[in-house]
Amino acid sequence: MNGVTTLTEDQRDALQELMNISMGQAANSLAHLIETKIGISIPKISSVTPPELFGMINRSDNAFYTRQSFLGDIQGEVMSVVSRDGLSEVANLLEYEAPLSQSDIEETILELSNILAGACLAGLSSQLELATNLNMPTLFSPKKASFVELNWQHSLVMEVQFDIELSSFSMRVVFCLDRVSLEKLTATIDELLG
Amino acid sequence: MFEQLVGKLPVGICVVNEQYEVVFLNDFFVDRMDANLRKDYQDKNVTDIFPAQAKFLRRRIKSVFVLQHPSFSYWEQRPHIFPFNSSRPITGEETQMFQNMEIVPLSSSTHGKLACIFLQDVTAQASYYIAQQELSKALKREHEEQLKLIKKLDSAQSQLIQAEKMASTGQLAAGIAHEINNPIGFVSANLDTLRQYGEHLISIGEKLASHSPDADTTTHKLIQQLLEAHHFDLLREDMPPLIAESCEGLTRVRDIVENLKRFALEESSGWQLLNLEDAINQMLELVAIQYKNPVYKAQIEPKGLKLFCEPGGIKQALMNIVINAAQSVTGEGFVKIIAKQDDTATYIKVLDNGSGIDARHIKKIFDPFFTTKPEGLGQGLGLSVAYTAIEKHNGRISVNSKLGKGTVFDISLPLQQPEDSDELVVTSA
Amino acid sequence: MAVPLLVADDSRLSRRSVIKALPPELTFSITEAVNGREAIEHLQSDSFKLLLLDLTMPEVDGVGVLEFISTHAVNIDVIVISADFQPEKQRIVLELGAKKFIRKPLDSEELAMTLFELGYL
Repeated sequence: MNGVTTLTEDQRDALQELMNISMGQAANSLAHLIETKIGISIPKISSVTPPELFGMINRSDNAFYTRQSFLGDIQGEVMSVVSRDGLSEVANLLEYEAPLSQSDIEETILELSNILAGACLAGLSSQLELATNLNMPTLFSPKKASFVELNWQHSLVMEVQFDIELSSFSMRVVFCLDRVSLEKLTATIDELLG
Repeated sequence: MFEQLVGKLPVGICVVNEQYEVVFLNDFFVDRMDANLRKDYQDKNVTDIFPAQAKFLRRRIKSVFVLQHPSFSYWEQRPHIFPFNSSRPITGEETQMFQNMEIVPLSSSTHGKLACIFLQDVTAQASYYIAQQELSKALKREHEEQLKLIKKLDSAQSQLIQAEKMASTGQLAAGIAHEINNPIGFVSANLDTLRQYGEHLISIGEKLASHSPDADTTTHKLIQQLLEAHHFDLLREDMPPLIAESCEGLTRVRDIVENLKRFALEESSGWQLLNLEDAINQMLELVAIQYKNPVYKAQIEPKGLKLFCEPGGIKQALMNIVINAAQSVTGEGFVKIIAKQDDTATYIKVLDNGSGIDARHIKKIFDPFFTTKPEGLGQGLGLSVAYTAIEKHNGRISVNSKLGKGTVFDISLPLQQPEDSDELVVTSA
Repeated sequence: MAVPLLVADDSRLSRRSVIKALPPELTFSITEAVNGREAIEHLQSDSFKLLLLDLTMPEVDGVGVLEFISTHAVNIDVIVISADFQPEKQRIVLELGAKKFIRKPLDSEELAMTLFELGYL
């Protein structure tokens, strides 16, 4: 991507609201499944460079990372940052029995990513009447070097955070879109605003 | 046509309703099920048909019904959800199928909400991946071993340099010892003469003192003043012990130099008959100079025990063992050498009641460069040199030790007959 | 007579869609607040009959506004319009005195129905 991705204030506001609604749906889904209240943040929409994206993802050592791509009318990748703190409590809520094996932990991380990222994307897509499909999440460890090598200068990212009350667990989901998808997204938002 | 197509798909398809009852299975599933289940799976609970991962399956299917969103499972975390074997029942190794699973929400007018399980056989990828992982682990291990080896070689090299230095220092010491002998010779001869002269002078002084009252007053006064001014009384008392001490010191220097010369200078000059008793006594004297803690004892039977050997090697071996023994004695203690001989072999025992050797080190003590001493204080060569020397004589060396109690080294050297013993009898001079 | 209405939502899009969804049979005099703090300021200086309140807002969130209303015994009908519709959240909001909870994205018919139930129509 060349040049700063610019959104008008209205577009940014609209995208933020759409994400907010999607998050609400995601949180409700998860809350329903694990019968616990989920806290949601105000979504952040920003334009970042690859090193900034790395900084955004890699804010703490005490986390696990997953990523999954989505295809369809809009395409991109979702990265989830899952805190280690409180993870075992969440695993218990997902009916994993203590003591957790390494596989249990990994499965919990992948499952949480899939549920929250999936519900967010599904919410966004349905509001904008776009068709998207999310692929399987995989675990990864972000390395600064590989982010610096990315062949774009700026990307629009949407960052949301979920917390599970009564536990120190928190999780951030970062959506990144490719340029074509971003254009498609802003055009769809303009229709909505129009 | 579509039904046939779905039936033949190379992925497993299993559709269940909200009660987890099986609505549809494709051939992939059916072909792999027990014969008695094949005809009778309709409307059965999927977790009854596949009870192995029942809890997990129920949870995931529930999640799909609740969230209306796909759920995934990977072989890495959960390799075998359904009890299927990999696809080669005859030719291949009979292994369990590695599976990736995806469950997606569906709905139909006749069944309402449904969940569709897609099952992928990823055994090939998984075994490839696992093999790769193992390979990479093996490579990593090898790499680490090589690094260790390189480090060992590095240290070996520096140790060898050190050893070389030591060897040349030894030669130097021997050379110096030789040079010191000459001055020591004339210094002690001169000192002896000086002692006699001193005695004469003292007797002159004594006589003067006793006879001066007989002289005239002036002379008497002069003599008394002279004797007092030069502290004759003190001088008379102090001079003989001073000289005696110096003589003793010189004797010690001569002994040390003599021992050093005999022991260090001696290079391997082939097989000779060695007077073991002399060699052991000399060695103990030398070691005692440096390590003063232990009491040294030698018990050699018979007196003047002789051994046909390479004297340099044997002496070096004993020296190294005795030094180790001496170093291990920190407080009061002893180092003892027992040597005896029978018709077949010579036996040498070195005992100490020092700190002993830790059981986990005992197997390594003869390894080159193995040392428990702080860096710089030991090269870890002494016992390995000893071992090599004993081995060269077809002998055996073994060790017994108890931590905190002491150590015993046992050496046995099979008797070797000199080809022409008369010619080669040497003492250690 | 126009109903004095306060719409509190940090999203302009959301405020616009709320205002657009208001039933045309009624007239409102509308004040907008972009966060909870602004909403409380308006509640302190003017009197309103109805508050359409979002929950997820910066500075002071919707729950904070409801707490202000209940502790200061402000006489106002509150309808919460939020994306965060977890049952637990709805329960808290209703306990704090909100009359009704409506999910985002907002359905204008649901809003009209609610206003009818509350006696505005």
